[in-house]
This record gives sequence, C-alpha cells and structure tokens, in this order.
Amino acid sequence: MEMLDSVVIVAYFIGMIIIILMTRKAKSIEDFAVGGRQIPSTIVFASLSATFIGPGYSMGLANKAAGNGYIWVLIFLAFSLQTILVGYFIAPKLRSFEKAYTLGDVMGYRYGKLVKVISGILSVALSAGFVGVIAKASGDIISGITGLPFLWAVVISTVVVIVYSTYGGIKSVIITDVLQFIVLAISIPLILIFMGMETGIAELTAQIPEKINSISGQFPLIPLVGLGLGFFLGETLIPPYTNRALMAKSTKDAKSGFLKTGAFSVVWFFVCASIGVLGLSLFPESDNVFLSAMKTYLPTGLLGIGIAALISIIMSSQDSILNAAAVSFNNDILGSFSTKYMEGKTALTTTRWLNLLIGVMASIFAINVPGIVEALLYCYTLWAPTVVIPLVIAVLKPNAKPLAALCAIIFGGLATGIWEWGFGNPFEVPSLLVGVVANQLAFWSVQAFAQNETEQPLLIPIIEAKNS
Amino acid sequence: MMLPAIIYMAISSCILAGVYVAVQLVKNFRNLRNN
Repeated sequence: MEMLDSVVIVAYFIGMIIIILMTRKAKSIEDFAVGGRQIPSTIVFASLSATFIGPGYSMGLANKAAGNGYIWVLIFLAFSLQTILVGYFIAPKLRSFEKAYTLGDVMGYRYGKLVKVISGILSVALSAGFVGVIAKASGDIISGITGLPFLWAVVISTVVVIVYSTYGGIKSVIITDVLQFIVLAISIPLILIFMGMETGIAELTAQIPEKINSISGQFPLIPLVGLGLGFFLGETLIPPYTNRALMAKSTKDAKSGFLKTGAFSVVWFFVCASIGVLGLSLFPESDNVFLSAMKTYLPTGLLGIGIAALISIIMSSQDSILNAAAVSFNNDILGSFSTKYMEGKTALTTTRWLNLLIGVMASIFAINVPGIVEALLYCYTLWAPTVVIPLVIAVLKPNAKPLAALCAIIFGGLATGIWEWGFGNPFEVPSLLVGVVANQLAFWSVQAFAQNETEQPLLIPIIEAKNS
Repeated sequence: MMLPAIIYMAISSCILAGVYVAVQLVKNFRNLRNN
C-alpha cells in the first residue's frame, strides 16, 4: 500500500467524522430508534443495502464463487427474492404500525407482552452476536490489508461505530450508511473494470476453469435446496431490516426502499461473484481471490478507496445491528417491565448507554471469549424457525392468536435445537426446514382450536398507544 | 458470448446506483440532518 492510499483512507475517515458532526444529536427515543420516521425511499434503499452487504455478502460470495462458480449467485438470489417479497407484502404493512420502534413492538401489539419479550431477547442476542463477529472480522480484514496490528484495527473501526451510533442514533447510522453505500457501490465494480483493462473480460470469461463452469456447480440437490432455503429465510426481517421499514417516511417509501434493495442485490451479487470467478484463473493459489484481485488491479489512490469500501462494508453492517440491539433491549425487554423505558428522557439515556455497552462488550468478548459470541449466534440459527413466520402472520392477519404464536416459537425453537445440536442434521436435511415446519404446525393447530379470548395477562395484545 | 455483456451491464448498473444515491444524498442531506 502506497502513501497516497493511506492518505485516501485517513481522508475518508475524516470526511465521515465531519458529516457525523454535522448531523443533529438524537433528541428523543423516536429520533434515536426510527429517525423521526422521515426517511425517503432512496435513503431506505441505500441504508438497507449497506446493512445487508457485510463481509459475507461481498468478499465471502466472491471467494465461494471462486470455488463453485455462478451457482452461488443463484443461491444468493433467494435473499433477493425474499427482500422483494417483503417489499411487496410486508414492509408497507409494518410501516402502518405508527407507534412501533421494533419488531418486538409489532409482536406485542398482536400477541402480548410475553411474545414481545421473547422476540426482544432473540433480537438482542442475535444482534449482539453479530456485532461481535463483525468486530473480529474487521480486525482480520483491516489488519490483513493495511498491516495495522489486529487489536488496533478492531479498536479503530469499532470505536468509530460506537461513538457515532451512540451520539446520533439511527440518523447518524443512516447518513454514514448512505455514504458507505456510495463508496462501495462505485469502487468494488472498479476491480472488475481494471481486471478487464489488463486482460479483457471476454478473454477472462474464456479462461473460466471447467470445474466451476457448469451451472449446477457440482452441488448435490438436497444441500442446494437447504442453502437456498437458508438464504431465503435465514435473515428475513432481522431487527435492522425491520427497522428500515418502520423508519420510512410512508408505506410507499417502505415498499419502494425494499424493492430497490432487492433489485440492487441481484446486480451486486453478480458483480461480487464475477470477481471470484474471473479472478480464479489469475490467482489460482490464492485463498482470498477478492483481496488478491483488489490489491493487484486497483491503481494507487483507487486502492485506498477500495480499502475504504471494505471498511464501509464492515462498519455499515455493524452500526445498524448495534443500534437495533440497543433499541430492542430498552424497548422490548426493559420496556416490558417498566413503562419509564418506553418514552421520555429515561428511554433515550438508557438506550444510549446500552448502545455503548453492547458495542464494547460484544467486541471484547469476540476477541477474548469467542465462546460467548458463538453462543449468541445460536439465536441466528433459531431466528427463522421461531420469530419470522409469526411476525409475518402478525402483520398480515389481525386475528392471529397470541397462544398460537407462543407455541409456534417454542416448538419451532425446540425442533431446530434438537435437529441441529441433538441429532446433527441427519440426511442433510437442514434444521431450518424442520424448525419452520414445526413452527407452522404448532401455529395453525393452536390457531384452529384455541379460544378467541384469553384471561392470561401476558397473552393479551398490547394496545398501540405509546407516545413518542 | 453473453457472459461478458452481462458482466458489463452489472458493473454499470452498480456504479449508476452509487451515483444515483450520491445525488439523492446531496438533495436530501439538509432534511435528513434537521428532521
């Protein structure tokens, strides 16, 4: 890396800090959690895209495609399809919950306090686990490229994220997300352009090795279906994505933001996979074709921007997930026990402290006690088979029964846990599929037979009357 | 023969999306900052 690249990276950080300082400090919990619900569709789109594009959905995809070819684009397209379906059917209806700050709120409005708290616990654990994983990945990636010591790489990127997300809440997160989106959407395709200038894209496509040139990518059918299902449901409506629907200016903006994201993801996946597929013949020995291509082909100065893009990929996911974890902890867990956490100064101050604490603790654990972060990530495996479908039903079906949702979460979670960690996924059938089936069997059986009214206070839907 | 054309289309769409968002950010920055 040349001096000019270092200057570009430092200038990028300074530019980001200036923009953050120009952003107003969050003044209420509604500001901090949903940005006053004033976000237009293009900004929802850029922020949502910057959030879903983490290291796995960029560099990870490129390196997978270097192993099996464009089949990985087909698998990742399950995510695009999911985002488009959520955009059409769910996001506008989520936005019509005018008082909701989190998906836990939406669950509470339909299914009562107990389901809200469970959704909150899963949301916080999943998000905190991700914050830790990304902190570690940021250390690996940034120290790998820049030569900075691992610990310094983690500290610099994580501290910047924690500071601006604690100060301005979701508004700072969104503005930096948008800036980070612009950098990554423009600079990552440049790798392909410079690869093509040197060798020619047509020549490179002619050199794609036979073993990765077949559309099936030599994947057996059952694991392929399992992977597709994982990409379809695994990250559906995770807290930071749901928050993007809740913060949109209108139902139309929520819909359009998700649809644009779905369409952009198709293009993005193709660009990243192409870097891997075309780079394989140029770097057959490399275990990270993406990084090798970037370092080799981007000229001085642009390499600095490319590295800034990689840092953006990391930070733009971490900041959104951290904000979602803090808001969910305060609102869904603490707020269920005392209304003082639902509004006013206490809500804002507590959420700020939680943002700071979760960011610091998750990063420390990720480096020193990785077992804790791994345990939190069990909630990622449990997400789709527990919360996702009851949440979709909550949005689409006003008369869904609280007991049905509670049973669906319990049975979906148990079935997944037993299949995954008890039996070890026999017959290569993914635990996600088993969990989703159990979740739905439980939901609809209870929905059919349970009484309409319940006297159990924990299962009485919360009335949507919170003041902002 | 199709693949290089698709790759070029994907590259240009991706860069255009970035430029489009940059323009929108400039247009919306004041609102975003103050709301």
